Amino acid sequence: MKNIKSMLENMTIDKYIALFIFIGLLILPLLSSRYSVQIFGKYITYTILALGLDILWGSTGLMNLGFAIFFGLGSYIFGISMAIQKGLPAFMSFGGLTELPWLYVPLQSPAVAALLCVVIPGLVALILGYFVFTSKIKGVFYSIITLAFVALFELFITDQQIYTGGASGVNGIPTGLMTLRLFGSKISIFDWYYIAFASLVVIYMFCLWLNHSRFGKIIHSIRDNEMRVQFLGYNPAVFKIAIFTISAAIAGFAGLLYVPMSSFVSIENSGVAFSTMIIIWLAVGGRGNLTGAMAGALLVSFLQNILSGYFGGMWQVVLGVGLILIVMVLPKGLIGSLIDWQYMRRIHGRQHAKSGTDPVPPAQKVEV
Amino acid sequence: MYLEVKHLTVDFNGFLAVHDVSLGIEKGETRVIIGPNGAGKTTIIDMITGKTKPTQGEILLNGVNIAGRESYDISNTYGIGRKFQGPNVFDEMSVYENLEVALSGHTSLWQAFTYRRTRAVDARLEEILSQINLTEQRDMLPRFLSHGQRQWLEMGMILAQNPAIITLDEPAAGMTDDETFKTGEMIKSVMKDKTVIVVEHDMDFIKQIAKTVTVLNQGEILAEGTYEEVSHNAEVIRVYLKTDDTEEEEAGSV
Repeated sequence: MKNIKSMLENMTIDKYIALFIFIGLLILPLLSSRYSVQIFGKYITYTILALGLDILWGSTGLMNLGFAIFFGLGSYIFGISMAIQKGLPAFMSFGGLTELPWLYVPLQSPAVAALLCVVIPGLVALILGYFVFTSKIKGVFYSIITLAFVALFELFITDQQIYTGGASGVNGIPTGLMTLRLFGSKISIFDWYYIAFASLVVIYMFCLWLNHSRFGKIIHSIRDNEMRVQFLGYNPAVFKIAIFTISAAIAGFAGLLYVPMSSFVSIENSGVAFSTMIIIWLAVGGRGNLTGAMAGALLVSFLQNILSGYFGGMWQVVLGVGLILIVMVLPKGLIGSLIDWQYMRRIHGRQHAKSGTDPVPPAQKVEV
Repeated sequence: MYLEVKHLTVDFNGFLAVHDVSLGIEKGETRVIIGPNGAGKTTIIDMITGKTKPTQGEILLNGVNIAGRESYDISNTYGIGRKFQGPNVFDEMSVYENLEVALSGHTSLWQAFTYRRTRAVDARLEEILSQINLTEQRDMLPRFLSHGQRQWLEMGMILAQNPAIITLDEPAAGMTDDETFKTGEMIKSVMKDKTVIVVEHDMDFIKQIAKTVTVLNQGEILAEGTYEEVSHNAEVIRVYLKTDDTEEEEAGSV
């Protein structure tokens, strides 16, 4: 009991907020309608996506302007798999196809498709990362290249209408994927919600562990002082490729979970605009502490929903002004600023507690 | 010869930062390189540690040419460590964690995931903390340390890295006289089994640590010898020591 009490006292504020978010999401379906469950199920997948970008941008300093590619790959792979369960989907037969393209044959098995949702984004990231990082492309140049990648991806998806549904996307996927069965019973939207929720908690714990491992310390070091890391005998390219791949696999998995929450998959959730949205989530919530990414994704998505109700087409302007204000006033984001505030308060508390002695500030934990 | 620099030249768009420099350093030696600003001291360290690729010449370590290799490779495979000019540490990690990241033998991706903070590791890091006088500051962030302590932390990181050859670029820069003296003793005691290459300005400090001094001027070697020989060399006094009256007096009084 005492242990739990001291653990709670020593917990940083971001952990409390993470706990609060998890409890809220856990009890939400008990209090709300099927529609809300679907909406918040979608937000959970955004939250997982934000965690994926946070270990890349927040922990390693690699700002990816095209992160939605990996989310898109995951959601397209699973979405197409769902669309082809009952024969050739409309967009393919209208395009003149009479039988399933050979590339899509493995996707007839939802289990294989689910696996590919993680493997393919990871593989794509591994290959892209290999070329970008071994040729020592850094900083802004790296970010611009990621933007070019997502622009190409968008162009490719829109262009290959017969195979991807083009600009109108892959539609006709039943919400909650009623056809799928797990342990003999049909998976409902509520089941999917809790699958997504459990995945979020597991991925959060994984990212937390990653940040505290030696690997985490090395990627933080690369973010803060890459040259120093190199002269200690580490090859930064190897670590960058690794984190790029891990974050892409997480994004791909989030893309998979997105499919049952939404009835269709389109470029709207895998292109340039959505990539920018992910950046905004992290800018609002704060980077490098995981909770900021989650809070930012939930808050901005929720506001987007509310504001579009009140302001109609003007919601983007209202949201935009709010974002600019946050970035200007709180450059570390909402959660980042809270952590700083709590840290300073603790130092001052300690100064008062043993006045007269020289205060020794403790090390702020790495996720700051 | 353990570390041999042969006819090293580096050309920065027509500016010869280093021109036909040859050095031979024995195993276990402490070599000091001095010279006025722009003499090419740091550039030589840059080339030995893989930061800059030489235009011409070779750097032989036990007869193997390491010139032009990647810095992490030089650090990992060939065991050459580097302390930068001005403290260069990780400001967001505690003193202890700074040393932990620098610890040798855990630099591959696999080791990054499988590493455990064992008792042996902890004992080693505590030993280094006491060697660099930072035991009490082990949990502090480096930004709360004094300038001199940050320099020591970086020296501690080099010790944790455990290289065969240590290059120190102005380790005593910005230190008080007392700290400078302690740094000198640190080099003499803790690094006594290592081959150490030091770039420095402070003549007292050089006198404290060096057996052999190499004087560079405008990218070329001007003189080489013991501290006594070099500090009495008329040419050295003319180009280097005369710029500072107090140092000239000191040099003369030796």
